[in-house]
Amino acid sequence: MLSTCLRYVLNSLPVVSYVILLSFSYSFILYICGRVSLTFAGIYLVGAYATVSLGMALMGNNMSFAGFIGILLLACLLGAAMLVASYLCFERFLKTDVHRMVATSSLLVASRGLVKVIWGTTPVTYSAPFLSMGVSEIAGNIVPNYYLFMLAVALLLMLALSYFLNRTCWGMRFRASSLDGERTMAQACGVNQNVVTLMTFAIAGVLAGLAGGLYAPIAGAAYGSEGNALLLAALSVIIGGVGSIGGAVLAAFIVGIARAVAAIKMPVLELAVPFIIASITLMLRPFGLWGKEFRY
Amino acid sequence: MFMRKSKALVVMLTAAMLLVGALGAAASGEIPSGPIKIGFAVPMSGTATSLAPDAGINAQIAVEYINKYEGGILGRPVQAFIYDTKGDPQTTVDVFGKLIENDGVEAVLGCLSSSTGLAIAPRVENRWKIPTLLLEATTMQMFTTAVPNPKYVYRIGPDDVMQSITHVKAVLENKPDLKTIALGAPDYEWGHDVVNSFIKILAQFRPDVEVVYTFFHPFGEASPNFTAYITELMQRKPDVYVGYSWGTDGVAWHNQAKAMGLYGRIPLVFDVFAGTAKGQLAEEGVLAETRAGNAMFPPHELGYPNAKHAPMILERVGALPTYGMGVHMLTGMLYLKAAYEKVYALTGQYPTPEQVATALDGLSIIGPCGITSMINHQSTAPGMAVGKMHQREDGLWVMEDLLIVPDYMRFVPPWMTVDEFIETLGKIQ
Repeated sequence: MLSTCLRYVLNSLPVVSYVILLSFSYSFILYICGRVSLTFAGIYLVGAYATVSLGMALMGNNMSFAGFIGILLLACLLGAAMLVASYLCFERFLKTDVHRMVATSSLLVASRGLVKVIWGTTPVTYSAPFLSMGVSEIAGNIVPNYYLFMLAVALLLMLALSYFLNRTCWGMRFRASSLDGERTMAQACGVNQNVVTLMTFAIAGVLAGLAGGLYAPIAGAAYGSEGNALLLAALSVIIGGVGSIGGAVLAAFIVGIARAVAAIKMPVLELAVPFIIASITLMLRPFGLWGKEFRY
Repeated sequence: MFMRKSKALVVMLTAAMLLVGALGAAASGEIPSGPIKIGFAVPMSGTATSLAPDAGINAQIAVEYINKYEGGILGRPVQAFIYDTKGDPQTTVDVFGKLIENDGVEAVLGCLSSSTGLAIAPRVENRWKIPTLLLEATTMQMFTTAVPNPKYVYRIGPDDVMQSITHVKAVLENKPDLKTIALGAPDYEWGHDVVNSFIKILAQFRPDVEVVYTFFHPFGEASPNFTAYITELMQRKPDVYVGYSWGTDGVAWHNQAKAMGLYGRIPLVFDVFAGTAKGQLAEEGVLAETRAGNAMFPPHELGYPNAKHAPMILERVGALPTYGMGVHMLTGMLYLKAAYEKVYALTGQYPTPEQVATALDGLSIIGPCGITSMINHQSTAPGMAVGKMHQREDGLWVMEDLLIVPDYMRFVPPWMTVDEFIETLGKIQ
């Protein structure tokens, strides 16, 4: 019984890891800046394609762990640069949530277009990092080491962000901005809102680019995968709560494990399970399992 | 008054003369000048492209071949109209509408997946009424429930029963001591059909074999995670696993299964599409299917029409795929050419779409897969075989020990239902 439960948890690890990163990317902008931005899903797609292309071009089948880390860092930088550029050139002019929702949806479509122009629509794969890391046996269950690596990266990043937000002076400025609806008080206290906003977008871009880069060796980079990413991230934010690191991790585990269980016990519900959980969460705790009442 | 009457008379006489002239021209069987328009509705983007890449190029090659080496159709050069269906049923319907209503094509070749075939077949029969050759769309529902009495819709690729019989025979041949088996497929019409057919047919040949696990994973999900299915599969420890994942699903399945050591733990794996996606699913010793593969009929330099067709594909695509849409497309073009010429030879008239559709049934041609006939709207020799994947020293993947099941053993005769035919299989083994 324990071994079976553990199996479900281990099976869910890749989904858990990328959902943690993606949902917090979405939630972070919403929490700190009070802005709805769907562009992160496009960044996820670009991150995945960039990782595959760079991996194939620079290393091919000769996998080097340091090289792969370098490629992931490049995907993070690309994600940060793209999301900051999208804010500076486009998103900062959007004044209401309706505009932001519609306009960033179109940015998502533009990201798809960019991917189509550069990489085409045929899915591409670069699985060397995934295949070369081997497997471990945990209580009779086989788990690829790459899954553990993904989870470690996601959790370490969340811990680092948690430390940054709660234990540093800059983090206090971020929190001050998020708690101040109009941001006038934070601004009056000397918190430079432009810098906070740009840093928020940069961090969200890093998370989205990394999510794409980490998941690409397992599932490949596929035109259209950004829709799935957007959906899972949004549902996880509903389940976990806006702006909560603990909520993002908890929601990702719930969604990932529920899908892994459904795949075996009720395959017909595998894709529907996140929606069902989100609906129940909304009924019982409208601000998410770990979220506080959130107004912006 | 008189003037007005005489004007009317002149107009009527002119109209009558024009009408008689037009009828006379038609009666003389004059073949229209200019190219004959043929439509291709094929996936050029989306998940299907990794199963059957370069579909657009293959369509162009089939048309070029017909024009260059076969003299077109009734002497008319073929003009191809090629559109991307994205492998999506609604887009396929839109593309068919565009081809038939805007471009005015006389026939269409297209559809890879069953869902796209099922979407257009009833519309072709009831609305568009032009000869339509499905490249694949192998579901048995096609000619049983979707269009039970077809007139215009034909299929070049195999049906699920032909496919499953080949697969069952290949499994039994490679694992005679088989006791337990597991099957997995994508969750849509074809996936369910093919797994159900396999189980029914296996029961005819070997009723003692136990099916220990079947699953249907989400189809075409852009970032699939199959870990749960893979671990469950390994827990059940079957003697053989038969997997039908294809396209991006297939590549992700293969990578995840490989990383988790599935290929070393199950004695025989039959990844049906292991020979596709430009080798991304290939695994040493794994069984794989070739369907309409150019590479299946060597030596290419000798056979007709492969001697001319295969080099064109090799030059433009860079490989001879094991899952060759080009073969189906050329077969379809040769069927169409033969149908047009048959009607013209019999009637002396340029054929109507209805006549072409009628002429296709019962027609035999020599195509890339050898002599093949269209019986009950289904082509008899879809060029299917199963072999073992092997990587040569130069890195090229090839299929070895090919098993080809004879047509009489896999083709459902017109006088039998599918179930009746399956029941006879045990007796003819």
